[in-house]
Amino acid sequence: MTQVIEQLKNKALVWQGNQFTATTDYLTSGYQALDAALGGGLPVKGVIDVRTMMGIGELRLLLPYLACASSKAAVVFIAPPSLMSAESLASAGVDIKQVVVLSAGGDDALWCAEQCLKSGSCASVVLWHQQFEIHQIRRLNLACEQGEASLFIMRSPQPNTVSLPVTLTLSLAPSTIGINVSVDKRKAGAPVAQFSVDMAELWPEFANKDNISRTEAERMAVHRSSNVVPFTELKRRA
Amino acid sequence: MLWGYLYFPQLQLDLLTKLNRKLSADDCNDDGNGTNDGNCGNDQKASNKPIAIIDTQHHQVIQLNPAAQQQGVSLMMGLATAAALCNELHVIPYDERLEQQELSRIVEHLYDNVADIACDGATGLYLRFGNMLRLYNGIEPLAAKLHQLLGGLAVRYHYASAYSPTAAKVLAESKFDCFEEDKKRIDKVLAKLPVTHVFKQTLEQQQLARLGIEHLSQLQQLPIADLSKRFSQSFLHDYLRLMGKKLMNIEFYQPKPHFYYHLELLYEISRVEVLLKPVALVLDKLAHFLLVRSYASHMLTLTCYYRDGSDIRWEIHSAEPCDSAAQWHQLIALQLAKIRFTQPVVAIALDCTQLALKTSITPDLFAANVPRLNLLTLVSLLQAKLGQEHVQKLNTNAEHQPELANQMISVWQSDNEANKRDVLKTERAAFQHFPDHMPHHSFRNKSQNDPQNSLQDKPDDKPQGKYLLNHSPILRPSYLLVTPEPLTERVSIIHGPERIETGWWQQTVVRDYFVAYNEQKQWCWVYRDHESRWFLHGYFG
Repeated sequence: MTQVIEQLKNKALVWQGNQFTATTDYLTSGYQALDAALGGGLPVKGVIDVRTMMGIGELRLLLPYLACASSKAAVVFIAPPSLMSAESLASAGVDIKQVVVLSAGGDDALWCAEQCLKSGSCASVVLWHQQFEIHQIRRLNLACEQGEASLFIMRSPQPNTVSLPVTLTLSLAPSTIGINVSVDKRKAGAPVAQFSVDMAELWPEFANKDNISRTEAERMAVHRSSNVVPFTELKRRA
Repeated sequence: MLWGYLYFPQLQLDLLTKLNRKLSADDCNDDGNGTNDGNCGNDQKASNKPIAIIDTQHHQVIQLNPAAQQQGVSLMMGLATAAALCNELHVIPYDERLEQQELSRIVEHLYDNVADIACDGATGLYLRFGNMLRLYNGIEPLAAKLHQLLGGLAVRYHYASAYSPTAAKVLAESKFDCFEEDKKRIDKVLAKLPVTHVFKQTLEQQQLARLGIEHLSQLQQLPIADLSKRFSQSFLHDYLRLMGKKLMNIEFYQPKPHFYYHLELLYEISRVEVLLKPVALVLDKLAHFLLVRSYASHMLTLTCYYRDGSDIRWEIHSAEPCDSAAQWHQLIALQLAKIRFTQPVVAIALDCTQLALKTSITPDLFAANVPRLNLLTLVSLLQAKLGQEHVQKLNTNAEHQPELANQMISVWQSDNEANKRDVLKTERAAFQHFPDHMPHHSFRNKSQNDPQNSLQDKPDDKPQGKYLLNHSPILRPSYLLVTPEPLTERVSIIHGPERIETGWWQQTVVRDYFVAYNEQKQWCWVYRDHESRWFLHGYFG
C-alpha cells in the first residue's frame, strides 16, 4: 500500500497537506465570499479548472480578477464559444487593448495557451477546451510558473473525469442572486462545499429584488414573462 | 586622386569551381563519419576535370582551369583546336549576366569597407581610394583589408592603383598586382607598358605600329596637338583619360534600398525541413543587411520557385519590427509547417521591402519578471501558427447596434499607428453622437439607488470620447452571438427593456432588449423587434 502511495506521490497525483505551504500570491476575485473561501483570492499563477455551464455568470465571476490582470499585462481568450463583446469587458474595467482573442481548436489551442503563458507578457489566459490529459496540464502548469501567469480552463461539468493536477478546481452552478461556487480541489487547502457568491453589488440587473426568495422570484419571473413567445415551431423543426 | 582597380579575369569559372567544391564538400558531409574517403576523392577528381569557358561569338576559349591548361589548352584558342587537344574538355558558354550578378555581390561585400566603388562591365571594379586613405591611414591597411575581404570569396583577381581610373584599370589588366601610392613609381611602370595593352582596337594598334610606338613612354613624348592630328577623337579621349587629364563619368554603386536575395539551390528540395536550411542562410544575410542599416522589418516575402518555373510565395508577418534571423526563422518555420510542396523547389528568393528604423524597448530595470517575449512578438508567433485572421483583438465601434459596436479585428500594428487610429475614431465618435441630433433613445429601468455607478466611480484615465457610448454603464453580454437567433425556448424576463433604435438612414433597427433567464438557468440577452418577434442575441457569461 505504501509503495502505491509512494508511486502516486512521485507522479504528483497525490498531494499531502503538509507538502505545500500556502502560496501568498493571490489576487482578489472581487467577491468577498469567494475570497474568504479561497483564503485571499484567486491564485496569480497556476492552472485553475472551472467546471461550468455557459452563460450562468462564470465570466462575471472572473471579470474583476481579469480586469486587474489586464492592468498588468495581456489577457488572452482562446477559443471562446462565441464573439467576445468588447463593450461588456470594457464596462467591467478590462483594458480591451490588452485583450487578445484566438480562435484555435484542438492541439493548436493548447499550443497557443502554452506559448502565451510562458511568454511572460500575458497575465492571464482563459481557455475553452473540454478534454485534457495529465501531461498537458503539467506542461501548462510549468508554463504558468515560467511566465507568472494564470490559466482558467472553462469546461462543462462532466462526471467521472480524471482528476487533473491543477492548482484549483471550481465548480459553478446557477443561482438567482449570483452564482453558486464549490471549491472541489485546491493546492495547500481543503475543499469547500457549495456556497453562494452574491453579485448584486456589481451586477444588480441579475440579482432579483432583495428580499424575494428564489422560488418566489421564479414565479414572478414566469408571471412577468407571459408575453414572451418563443419560436416553438422552429425548435420542433430543429 | 588615387584610384584602384580590381580585375576579375575568370569570374564565371571561379563561381563554377566554388559550386563544385561546395557540392563535393556537402556530399562528404552527408556521408557523415568520413568512412567514404575514397568517394570524396572521386568527387575531387570530378571537380578537377578540364573546364573551358567559350566566347560564343568567336568560339574562343576565354577562361580555363588548370586541368585544361595541363592538357595544352590555352587562352584565345579556337574551340575546335581545344576540343582536339583534350577530348574530355567540359565546354561551357560564357554568361555575362552571371558574371555581372557575381560582380554586384562582390560590390555589396566590399561596400561596407570601401565607400566609392563602381562596376566596370562584368569583369572589373573601380575603387576611389583618394577619399579612403585618411580613414585607413595610408594605402597598406586599406590594401590589407581588401585582400582579406577578397580572400574570403575565393575568386582570382588582379589589382593595381594609379592616379586615374583608366590607368589603374590598364595596370590591373596587365597584372601589376600592387597597390601603390608613390606617383613616380606608378608613372615609371606605366611608361614601360606596351601600347597594345592600352589600346585594344586593331586600327589604333596598326597606327601606333606604323609610327614605331611600342611603349607608353614614347607616346608621352609626343605633344598632344600632334597626336590630335594623327589619331581619331576617341583615341585622344582614351589617352587623355589615361593620363588623368580628362575626367571620366563613373557611376558609383548605391546600396539597394530594399533587401532582395535570390538563391539558386544546389539541388532540388521537396521537404520543408530541408528547405529551412538554405532559408536560414538567406536570413543571415538579411539580418546583416538590417543590422548595418539599423533597420527592422514587419514583413518578408518568401518565394519558392518550382522546377517547372511556377512559383509560390508567402508573406511572413511580424507584429513587431524584427531584425533577428532566429526570430524570422521561427516564424517562417511555423508558417511553412503545414505546407507540402507539389513539386521540388529549385530556387528561393527573399524580399524585404517594408523597412522601419529600429526602436528598442527598454525593459523595466526593477521588474522581477522580465518577459521572455513582448506582446507583439507573441502575437506574430501566434499569427504565424494560426493565420492572421485567427488572432484578433477587441474593438468598440461608435455604433448603437450591438453587433456593429462589438467587433473583433485582426489587425495588429505598432502602438503609434493604433493610437493614431484611435484618435481618428474618437473624433468620428464625437462627431456622430451628438445626442441632440441623433434619433437614438436608450432608456432603462434603473433601481433607485443605482449601484452600478460604483463601477463608473472608478478612476478612469481613458479618453472620454472613446467611451461616449458608455457614459452610463451599459449592460452587454460577454458572449455575443454573431447574428441574432430566433428564440426557441421559454425564458423569464428579469430585467429590461433597453430600447435600441437606430439605422433609420439605411435599415431601421428597433429593438427592445431584455435580460432573461432560460430553463437551463442561463442568463440570456433577448430582444423583441418592432414586429414583436423574439430573438436571442447573447449570453451573460
